[in-house]
Amino acid sequence: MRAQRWAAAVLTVFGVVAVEQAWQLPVGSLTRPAAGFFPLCMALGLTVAAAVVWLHALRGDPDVVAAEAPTRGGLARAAATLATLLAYAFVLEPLGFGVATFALVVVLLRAIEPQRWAVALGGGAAAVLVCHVVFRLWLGVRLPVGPWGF
Amino acid sequence: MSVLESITFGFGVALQPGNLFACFVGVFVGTLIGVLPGIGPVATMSLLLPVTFAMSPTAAIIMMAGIYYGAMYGGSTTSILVNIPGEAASVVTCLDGYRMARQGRAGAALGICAFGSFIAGSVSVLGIMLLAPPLARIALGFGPPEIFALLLIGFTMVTWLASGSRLKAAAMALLGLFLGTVGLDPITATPRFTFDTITLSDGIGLVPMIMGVFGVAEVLLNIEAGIKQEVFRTRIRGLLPTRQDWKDSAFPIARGSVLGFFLGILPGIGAIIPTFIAYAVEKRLSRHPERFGTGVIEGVAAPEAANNAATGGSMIPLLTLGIAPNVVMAVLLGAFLIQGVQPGPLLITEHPQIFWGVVASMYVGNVMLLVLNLPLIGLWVQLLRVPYAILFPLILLFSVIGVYGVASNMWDLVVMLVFGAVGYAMRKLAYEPAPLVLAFVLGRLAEESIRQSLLMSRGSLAILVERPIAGVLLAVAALIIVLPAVAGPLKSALAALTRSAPTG
Repeated sequence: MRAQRWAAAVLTVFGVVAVEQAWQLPVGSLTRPAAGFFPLCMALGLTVAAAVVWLHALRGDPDVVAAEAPTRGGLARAAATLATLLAYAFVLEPLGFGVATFALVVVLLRAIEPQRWAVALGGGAAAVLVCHVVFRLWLGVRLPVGPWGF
Repeated sequence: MSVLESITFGFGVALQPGNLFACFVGVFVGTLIGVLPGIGPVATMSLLLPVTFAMSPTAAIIMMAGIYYGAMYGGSTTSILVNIPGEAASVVTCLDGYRMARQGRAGAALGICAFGSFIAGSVSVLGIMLLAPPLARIALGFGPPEIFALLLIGFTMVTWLASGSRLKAAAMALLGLFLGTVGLDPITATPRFTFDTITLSDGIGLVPMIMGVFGVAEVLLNIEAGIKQEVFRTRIRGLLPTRQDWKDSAFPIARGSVLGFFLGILPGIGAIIPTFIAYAVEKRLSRHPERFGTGVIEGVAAPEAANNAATGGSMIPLLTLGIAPNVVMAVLLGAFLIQGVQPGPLLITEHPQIFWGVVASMYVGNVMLLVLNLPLIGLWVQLLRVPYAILFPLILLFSVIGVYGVASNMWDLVVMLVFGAVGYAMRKLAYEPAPLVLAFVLGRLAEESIRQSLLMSRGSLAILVERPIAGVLLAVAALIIVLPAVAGPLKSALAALTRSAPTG
């Protein structure tokens, strides 16, 4: 229930910030709506809707507070996966597709849902090869080349 | 050209080698991702959008459409054998399909799904052939007020038909509409919420957003839950339905096809809702409703027919009006725009080879799926036995490469991951993602149409009511909002009247 209140509060604050940002654009009028008109209306609507959800969450309305609690271990696995992918996004261009992808697959196969080293290393190599053939050679997708030429 | 001449022309286009190959790739990939839980047609179509750069417009749309209805075929396999929906529109099939598998009737369930889907797909192709051309002629008379009113129906339906809190769904729709304004104003090119970055000047990318909300978030949920699919070990035999199976399934397939097709046309419905409604209708009409959920073939035939028919129905608003009625069609709209083709009332006259080629290819694709799916069931079963712990890194890797491939911009990956986290949080906190994404996709068109309407009417919103078609559409939207509120009291009042009516 607390998570629901926080989520609704964050959404409401987002709405308020959106209204403030939209107000800085030229809004125009009903006769001549300008660039900020539609975003301002949507931001106002969002703020009101989010605030009402927040109120209902504070009151404990079952329709609003229904949620699925994550398991602690599960949440850690999901967070670790996201962090690994984020790191991959930042090292993809400097290291190149081959090395970055190999590392990504090995980490996911070892750290998130632990497999044997042979499976992880083999899986990493196979993934790089398959993606090189399918995406680079067959589909012509441009993937970054690192300092080692792949 | 008459309809018959047009569809003959369409078959001529669809049966060209390049288009035939594209159709095969689409239905095969579609079936594959339909079988695999954790990745659906939306994410896959988004992933393959960059690939369509190198294809002809007709082949690109044929392939994309094939992925969509192919996924409907594949999803039932996982529902029946693993009791996990291969993709969202097959969730109802789990109820009776898995029970049938446990009773040793997996073959009958799989077979009737394949044949029922084929019949429903054929019905929806016929429906498109007959309805789309006259609808396109009517749509030529649509102006900005009519388009805005139609979009309002879509937003209302996707919000009001949300399975959870409508309030939260409304908040998500408004958030989606707001996020759709990021980038350059479509009329004046004024930068909005770009924070002087090049990435945001083009707006929030549709592909990164969809891959994040539907692809990455789904994988994160499965990892968190520790999904382990256990394929029900049974010998699958007797894939051809028996006479009794046909007797029991014929009317459910017919009803599911018609229901699915017409519901699929409505904005905001998608392929999931028709399956629930078809199942509920069959249960209501059955002489033995208590048997539903224990393994009755009608409980499999009707929803599977409905979801396949809905895929065809949902093509109609896109092809004739240029309006994406659901998220999948939004990705298909993206494929059209990449090819420089604007779907809408002029598509049939300006690009008849695309329109009729795609329609004919849907029939060809349905034949391919029927021929492929039954013999390949053994292969799909083997695929399902690959542990999710091995599959998920590949799903994530393909998602990442697909998003990066759009513009070779690593910030698109960051956007995808942000929406992945947001999508995960939304699902845990029971905020539906469909209103967010649909509103995001349709938001630009909604903004253009309302601004043009206000310019036309010199600031008066009454234009939405004064024009007949817009007024009717607005009334439908209002009815959708009001109906649930009055249905309950109305039912009680009718029941009270019936009880107090004199007898004898």
